[in-house]
Amino acid sequence: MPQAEMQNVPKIVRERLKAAKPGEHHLDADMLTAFAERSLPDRERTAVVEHLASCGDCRDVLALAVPETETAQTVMTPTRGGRLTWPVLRWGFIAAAGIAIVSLGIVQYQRHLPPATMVAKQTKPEAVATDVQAQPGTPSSAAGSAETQEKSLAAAPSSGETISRTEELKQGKLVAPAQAPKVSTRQLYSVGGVVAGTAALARPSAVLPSAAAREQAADTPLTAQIPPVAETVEAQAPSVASPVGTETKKSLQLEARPLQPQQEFDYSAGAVGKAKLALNAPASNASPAVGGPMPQPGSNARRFVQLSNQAAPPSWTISPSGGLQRSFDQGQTWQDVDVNAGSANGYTSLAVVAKTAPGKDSLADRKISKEPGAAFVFRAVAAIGPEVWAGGSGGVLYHSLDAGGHWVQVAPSANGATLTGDVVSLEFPDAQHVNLTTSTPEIWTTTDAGQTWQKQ
Amino acid sequence: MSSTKAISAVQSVVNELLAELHTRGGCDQVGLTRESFAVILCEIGCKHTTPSIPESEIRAFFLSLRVEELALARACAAGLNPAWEIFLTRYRVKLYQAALRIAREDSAAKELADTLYADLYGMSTRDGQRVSKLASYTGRGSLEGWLRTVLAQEYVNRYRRTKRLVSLDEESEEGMQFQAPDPEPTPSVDPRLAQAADEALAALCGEDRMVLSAYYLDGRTLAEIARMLGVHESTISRKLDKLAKALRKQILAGLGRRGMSRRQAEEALEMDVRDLRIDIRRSLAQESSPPAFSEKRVEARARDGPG
Repeated sequence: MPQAEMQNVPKIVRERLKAAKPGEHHLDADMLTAFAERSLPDRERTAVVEHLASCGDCRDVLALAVPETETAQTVMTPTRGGRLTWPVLRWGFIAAAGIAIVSLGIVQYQRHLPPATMVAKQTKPEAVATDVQAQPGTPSSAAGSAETQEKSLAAAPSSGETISRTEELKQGKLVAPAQAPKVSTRQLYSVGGVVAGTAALARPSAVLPSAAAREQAADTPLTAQIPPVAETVEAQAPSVASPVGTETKKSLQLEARPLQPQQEFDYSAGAVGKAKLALNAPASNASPAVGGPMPQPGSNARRFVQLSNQAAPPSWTISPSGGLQRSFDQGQTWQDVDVNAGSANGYTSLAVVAKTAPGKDSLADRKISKEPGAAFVFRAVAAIGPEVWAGGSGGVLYHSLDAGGHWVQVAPSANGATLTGDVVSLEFPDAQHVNLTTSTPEIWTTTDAGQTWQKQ
Repeated sequence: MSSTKAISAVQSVVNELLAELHTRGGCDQVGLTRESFAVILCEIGCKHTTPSIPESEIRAFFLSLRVEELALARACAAGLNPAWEIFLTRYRVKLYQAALRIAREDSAAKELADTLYADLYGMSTRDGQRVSKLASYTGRGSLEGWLRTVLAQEYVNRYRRTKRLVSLDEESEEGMQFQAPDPEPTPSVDPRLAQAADEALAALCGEDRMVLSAYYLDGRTLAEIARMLGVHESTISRKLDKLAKALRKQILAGLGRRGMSRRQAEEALEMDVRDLRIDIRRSLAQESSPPAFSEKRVEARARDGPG
């Protein structure tokens, strides 16, 4: 601040300063020198300053005695080097802090990106069609045709077409139907209750049938054949021999269900855990027809629910009766969440089985059958953004990547043991790490988003 | 008894540290014996310590002394020639440079330095013994800094002595001897204002008052004050600005506590009666008629010439 612009003190202050009487004795040269060179202890320094406050003579002596060159050295802050002066360091610290904040923001943004990434964004605009057709076809042909649509969306299971589950499931791949209709990259379809990681995203599991298709395949269960996509993750599923509709518990069936029109899925490439497609819940209604607002072919009505596109992820709680509930309005209203929703509309949800190591356990050992309409008693829920883990009685563990729009049941197993105890607590520090505690008590952990589990 | 105890504590520490300090001080080079150095240390210790100081602090005090320069200075004060040779070699030029910086003029600087040399050498005697200013050096600061301070003290004393001596001839020329006493009585300041100001100033620490005094009374620059305190100039600038605002606020509050309204307090603070000096001469000059003759008229007549 320039000297001229400094605020002035009232004249009375100057008068009273002048009236202050100094001590009887002036400071000797030793004290003044030691003060100027800052070699006095605090106690003595305070006494010297008090004297200087009222003695003009000593102030004059001090002002004359302090040399300019020496005071320049004392005034300047100590430097570690020619360049590392305090102003440089200060701006360096500020720049480093800014970079750290930006990096943290980027990390947080990436962390909260929709976990359910869809190949749709990676696929060509001419993606799979919307119709779900139960079309008979061999897996190979389906696979072959699917390969042409390797990067397309919404592998639509043709009506009547069954998946050669034994082969594909052993390979851990789901083959897309031969004539999967194309959809736009952003018109993806949900398979009721299943968002099986990138597999589901990479291979849009089900294509909602058009009205004509529904009529044709009214009684034919939908089957989803997901084309093998290199970037997709293999899924392990128990072998399913029969097509959907005949073996409801163990068939690999992907049945689409209509999504809420206002809910739009935003698929983006990204691995959020791996495909865990496995079994399904029995489809009470194999008809591909879905109730409610069935979208027309090519329409945008059939969309995956992607709640992560909501302004804010929902809050989660467990009701006194053990039901799972979520709130989008910060707790003002709560919605019951049925992890098996869709059965009433003829859709089934897929259960997911996690494997501990490839080849160790047969797929059959890890089958999970799900009775339609079975109620769960949840006891723990944890969520980060749209990704939710919920556990309850009897080792029940569900995982959702879209804030509860779709659920995948996870059955942790390790060294032949499966999770059977009641899940009483869930820790979910990030997408890859989940720790759960059971009532037994046991501690199960995963470091790869549920692909493999370790039991403690 | 307490002083005796303090003296014994000092002596105890001196005896403990004498060998180390004697060696560090290079006393042998300047011809200072161990016994005489011990006496010097005891004198310094007794001067700067109090009975309440523990021995550990006394020890730390002695270890912080600049014993090498102390030994040199005291050896010079004792008149030891080897010490003087070293002293002149090291400090002669520096002393002159310091005097030049203080006096800002070559002849004055030389005179100042020569005067100090005489005092340092001990040209004066007291009770038959030479008195050297170097005998007062205690080693708390550097010898060079001490010499600068002594020069500054000498300069300030000279300046003040000169200022007090007023030439009668100069007074006569200015008409000071005929000056009438000031007819205007010194206007009295509202005592509440002075009390509030005293109260506000008393609440400040010594350093703040020192900064205010150096700036507003001594007219020191921010850089000079910063050098005096060993801080950056911007620190002084910010401190002064902050102090000015705080003082005003405190004084207004003090005046309010003494019964003044806010408006009255602000008026009292802003307007000082002593500033209302009526310039009578100016007022009279404005009311009087213009002078009879002006220089211009005289010149015109001179040009016109006779007839």
